[in-house]
Amino acid sequence: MLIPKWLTITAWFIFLGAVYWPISRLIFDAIDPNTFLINSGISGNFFLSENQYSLLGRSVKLAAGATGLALVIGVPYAFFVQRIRIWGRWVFQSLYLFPLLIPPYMQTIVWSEIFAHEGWLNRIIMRLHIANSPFDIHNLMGAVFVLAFSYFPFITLLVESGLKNLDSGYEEMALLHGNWFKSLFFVTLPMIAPQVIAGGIFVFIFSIIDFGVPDLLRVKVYPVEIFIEYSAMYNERAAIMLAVPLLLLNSLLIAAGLWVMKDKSFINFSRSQKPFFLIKTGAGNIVAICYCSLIILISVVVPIICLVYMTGDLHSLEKAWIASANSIEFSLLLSIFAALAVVSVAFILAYSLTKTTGKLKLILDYLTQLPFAVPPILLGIGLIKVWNQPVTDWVYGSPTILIVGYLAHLIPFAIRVIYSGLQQIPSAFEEAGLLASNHWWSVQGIVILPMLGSSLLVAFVVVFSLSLADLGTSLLIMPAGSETIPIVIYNYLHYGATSLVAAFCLMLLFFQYSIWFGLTRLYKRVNVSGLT
Amino acid sequence: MKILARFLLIICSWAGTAHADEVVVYTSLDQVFSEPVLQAFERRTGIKVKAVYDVEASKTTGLVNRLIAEKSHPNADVFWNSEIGRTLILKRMGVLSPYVSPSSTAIPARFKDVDGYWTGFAARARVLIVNTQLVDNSETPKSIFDLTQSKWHGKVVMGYPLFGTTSTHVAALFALLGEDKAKNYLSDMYKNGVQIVDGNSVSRDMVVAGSEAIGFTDTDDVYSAIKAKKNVAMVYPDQDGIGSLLIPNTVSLISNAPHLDAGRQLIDYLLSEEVESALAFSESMQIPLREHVKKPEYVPSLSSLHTMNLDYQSIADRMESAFIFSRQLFSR
Repeated sequence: MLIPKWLTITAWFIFLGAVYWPISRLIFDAIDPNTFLINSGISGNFFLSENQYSLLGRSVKLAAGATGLALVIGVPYAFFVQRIRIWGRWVFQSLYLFPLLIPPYMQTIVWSEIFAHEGWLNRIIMRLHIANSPFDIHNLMGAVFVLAFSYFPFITLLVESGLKNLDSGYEEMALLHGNWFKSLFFVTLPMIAPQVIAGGIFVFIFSIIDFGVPDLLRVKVYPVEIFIEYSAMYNERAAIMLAVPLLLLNSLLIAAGLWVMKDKSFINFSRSQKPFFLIKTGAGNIVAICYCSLIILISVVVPIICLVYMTGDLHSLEKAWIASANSIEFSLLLSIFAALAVVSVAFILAYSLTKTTGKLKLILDYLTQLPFAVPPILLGIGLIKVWNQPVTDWVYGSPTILIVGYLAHLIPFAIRVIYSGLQQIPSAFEEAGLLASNHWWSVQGIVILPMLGSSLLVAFVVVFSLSLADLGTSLLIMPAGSETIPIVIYNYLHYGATSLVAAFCLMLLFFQYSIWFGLTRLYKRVNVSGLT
Repeated sequence: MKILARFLLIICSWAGTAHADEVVVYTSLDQVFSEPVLQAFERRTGIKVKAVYDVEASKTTGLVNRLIAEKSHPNADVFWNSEIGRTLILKRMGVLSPYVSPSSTAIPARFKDVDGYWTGFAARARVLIVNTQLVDNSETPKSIFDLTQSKWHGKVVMGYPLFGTTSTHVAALFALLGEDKAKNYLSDMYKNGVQIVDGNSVSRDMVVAGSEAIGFTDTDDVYSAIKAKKNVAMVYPDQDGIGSLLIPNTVSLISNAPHLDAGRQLIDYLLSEEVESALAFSESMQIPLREHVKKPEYVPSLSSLHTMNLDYQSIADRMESAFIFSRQLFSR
């Protein structure tokens, strides 16, 4: 073990404290101390009402729809950039991650302007006398559309990694016995099926616990029922019990995802020594370019152009800056600290996972991924219960509580990414490092961390972006006197200040992209190219 | 180095806890309206105000939940609620502490808690927003009961009655009409295809956009649309009948508040005539509860309005049954 035991124990302690302590506290509070029987609080029984079943069904439909569409978008995209020698391949390889910088609520604002009953598109169509308002995004399909275009990069990322890891020898052999079509359907796709399934599970879980997009699109979903129990009926116990079906479903899916992936690497940031192309020339190239361009157009270009148009002029930007400079600074610093904290803890946990074997590894692996299943509102309640104590005022009364919240909510993704990176580092490198130095930190600093650079960078950027866009967790635990930019955006949205909202979104995107770009340049400058 | 120094400074400030010369206020009034008032208090007294503002996404109930969750170890000193229903629930749950402010002397008794747990000021009214392009002036409904007529089938929009001022309005109907009549009215609205949306601002936006002809909302939402020169009109309903529901802001001291003195000073300031006047002149268009307070002409005086004749405590008493019924009726 290269990292000392005390550090590993501390990291696990922080992880369990941030994630499992609040959740355990909620579960204990939901148990009647007199009878040790769970009191559902839902009309005195465990069963959901007819309406609740119907809402749960709608949530499943929403998540399944978003997952299906994200697969349709993400899998071909990954295939096109990895297996077809298209013009501008590196551009498409970089751009597909950009939608992760545009939070789903921002996509909702944009697409509502375009596809709403009274939106731009309907107005144009009506002016041309073609039809009377044929589009309306305020329905289940609208939510499916927004969520799919927000989350498809997770699928592309995993499938692309699968394709990089694939031994192209199999595909070459298949090509000898048939055409690229057979090679694709009988060799490539079956071999990357685990990544496709795992990516789909990620999108399903993100979509089923999402509250913001359905809320903005006026689609009633199951998480709203949990919210009602807590926020309107003041029945915390019922809220927790209502969350149980969602928690169970997500827990099963996470287990299925881990089982499907087994020891496979979720994400691979290495550059292939020699990219393998099933299709090198011909019509396939044009189709691939058109397809990838269309996806980037919908997920990146249109939202940004729309935000610029909605902003109107520089005056709105100036006004937005004056109104939110403090919140932007606060949000940026908070997200940077959160990303640093999450990546640091995730690195030690992921490292300890690589050194663990057998059933213990399976259990720990599962434990690290389970936080994905927890709806943010429940996490918020749990965090208040645990941290709002006289001795922990320094945490609860300061932005540190938000960092704890983001850590609890986002660490599974960081662990997954870093763990995948660590899996790709041969143990011989570490052993060689040990010969040169006795100190664990030297070996980590000189050998492991530089080779893990791209994984750490992606984990940092994703956690940073998701923290910057978070509303669900921060809504309940925002310390007094502080305010994050998503909260400012939601406030102005309520007030109907569309141009200011668009200006806030643009500024947020600008800062996010600047930090991403800056980190990538820095990474390249220090010449750390990951495993090649 | 400067950036690093700033980072360190911010970290140090983050680690800091409560100070004596500060006050923590949770407020559900829109930040654009409440922040200037709190900043004015800060400038005047030198007491630093730390505020937590509510967000539309939490349906103006997030802060109430937080106050309940924090009950054993409160962080807030003052709760400035933009409505009254939830304040009454907090009183019942033992979250509030009594304080009778000297600034509240001229406020009519019906807007003050007899035990001093809350005091009302600057009110909004529940009104109808009407799209003037879709509804002819002669057809404009004068009463909320007109909206059950078949000619308004599928043309009316209302916030989800479990949240915000819509829930207070529904509970008020339960209190004023009696449960059976209120249930019948809501059922008739449901049968008449009332569109249920997430909140008042969505109601307003839908009527402004012409997706619906009429919406239930509050005076501040309609006024912001009128000020933006949208084709809408504001109707104070039932002026010849049960009256419009008046929803005052309420301010309360939190039980075991960490900064009691500063909290009391803030309450005194919020209940001052100066603040009522400022809120009347702001875009939130709040109606002063004291007749002699300066206000713009477009803000009606309290005496010129026929308001619902009910005791606010009776709203709190009906809230639970109104919630349960609304949830059953409007769950989709």
